[in-house]
Amino acid sequence: MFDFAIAGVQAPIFLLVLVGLTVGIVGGFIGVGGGYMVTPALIVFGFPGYMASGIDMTHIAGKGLVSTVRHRQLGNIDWTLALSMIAGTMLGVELGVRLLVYFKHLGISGVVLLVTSVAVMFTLFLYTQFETSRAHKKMEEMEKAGEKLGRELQTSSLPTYFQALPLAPIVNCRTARVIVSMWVIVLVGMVTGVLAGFLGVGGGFIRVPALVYVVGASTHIAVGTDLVEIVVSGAYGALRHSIEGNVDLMAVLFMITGAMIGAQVGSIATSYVRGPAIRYILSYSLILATLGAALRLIYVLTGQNVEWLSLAAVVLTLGEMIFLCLFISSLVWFAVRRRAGKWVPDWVAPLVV
Amino acid sequence: MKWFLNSMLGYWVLLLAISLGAAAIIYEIWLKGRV
Amino acid sequence: MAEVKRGKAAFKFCFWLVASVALFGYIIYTYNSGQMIRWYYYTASLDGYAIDANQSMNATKDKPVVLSIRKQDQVDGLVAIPVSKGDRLPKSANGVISLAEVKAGKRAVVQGETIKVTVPWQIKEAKGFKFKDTFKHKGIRTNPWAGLWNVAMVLTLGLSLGLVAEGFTDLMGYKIEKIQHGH
Repeated sequence: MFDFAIAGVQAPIFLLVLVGLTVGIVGGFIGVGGGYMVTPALIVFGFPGYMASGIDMTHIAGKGLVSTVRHRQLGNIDWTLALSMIAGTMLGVELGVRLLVYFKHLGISGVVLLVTSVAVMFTLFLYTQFETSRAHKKMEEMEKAGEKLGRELQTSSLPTYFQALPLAPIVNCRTARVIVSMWVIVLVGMVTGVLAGFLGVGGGFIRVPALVYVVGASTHIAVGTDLVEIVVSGAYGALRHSIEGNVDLMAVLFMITGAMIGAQVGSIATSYVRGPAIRYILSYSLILATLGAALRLIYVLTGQNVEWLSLAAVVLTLGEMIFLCLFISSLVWFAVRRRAGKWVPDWVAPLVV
Repeated sequence: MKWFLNSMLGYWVLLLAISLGAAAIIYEIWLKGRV
Repeated sequence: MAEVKRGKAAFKFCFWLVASVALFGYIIYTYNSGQMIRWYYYTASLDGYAIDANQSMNATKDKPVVLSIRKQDQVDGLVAIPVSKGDRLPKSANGVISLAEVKAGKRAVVQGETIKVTVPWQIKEAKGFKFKDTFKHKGIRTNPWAGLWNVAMVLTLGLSLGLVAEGFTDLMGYKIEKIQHGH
């Protein structure tokens, strides 16, 4: 137990390090900040709600940078794409925060937030899961037919549509091998930024699918490039939160201790898998986060009386983090086994490299 | 038992069960009565 | 050639490891010396009484905690020090009971030269989870430069930890090849 003088709570160090570790693994692998898991967890550990957000945002900035350094080495960052998006993202976040304040004045922000979270995450889950299953099936057929599999396979027709939009200036993203209008990139940044600012999260779980299905980048590039955005928006969020008095740096420090290992594991794990594997983990994190938010919504709507709902939400939030880490580690383990010529389940084979 | 490995859904269920169990243990040891 | 690469990797690893450890140490020192806390509880953001919220944490309507109103430099024990908006907070103060709160009289009441605290905390909700909202952190303003310092520390730490790891994998001879994208 550590006495956090600024936050004014006593919390177990082990749990903070564990949260940092698990969210680091997940974040490094699917390119999210993990705030939708961390903020509820911190509140459960005893941190006041306003500090939970601030501590989370600050740790995301640091952890994101750890992952970015590794992803740069892996070749997963398209700097043209990243830098083009930043302005749109920042503007979007600012708009989203103002929207949140507006709803707060109307006095219905808590429920509105949860309902919006559930709706957005569930829709993203459905599309991502559907498309990834289709891609997985196609890869299985290709392997059976003896064809060589590339690092990525994507079955959505959305990118073709967006890449065809002739709105100048047209940008050539060399690393991603994508040629698309700058306005599409800025739009992606803005829309994801608004959602992020409004829901109070890093935005990764919206931006990564957007980069894949709208801009048409490969999943690996989407993950690496998105992490750059997360560092920038995380740093900005951390600054704002620090000035408001929402950050206890010691709590951040303990979380980064775990995240420095986790982010490495997650980032390097991407080199063991193909694109659809990452999208699967992303869709799982979306459905579990949706369930967690739905439980909390029902709890709030029933007047916060049904205690087991709150307990279920806590267990689900913690369980989700552990589940995702186990799945990611399994994928790496299966990849290593396959490279050594050992048996892996049939469904795994086309997913790993 | 084999279904849990050979089918993707089965594996998903297996890992989720382990994770939720671990989460319940963590809750029981460290977090009960905190809020 | 391999020797030169290993040498470079070793240097990279050691340099950034030292930098990371130094940063960790510096941040912990800032905390232990109380500097971080003094930057956090910097000035009052409204008119009221600066207190140590921990002292009245267990107050109830039947057993209120009584704080004596005094003008001094430090909050030691059951004291409430009058402050105006923008004043530097006295040492060890971690919250301000606002004049508005005292006027409303529901949570704390002024009686002569003392303040009676009866409701030290309330249950609030965020993201669907409940938490205790106390007098702590209320009515305080942090040093804005401390905000910049926080961000600088976190980013520098992130960068140096990332490079330590890169140096480590280089040193271990772990091959990292850039993924070729392009479907």
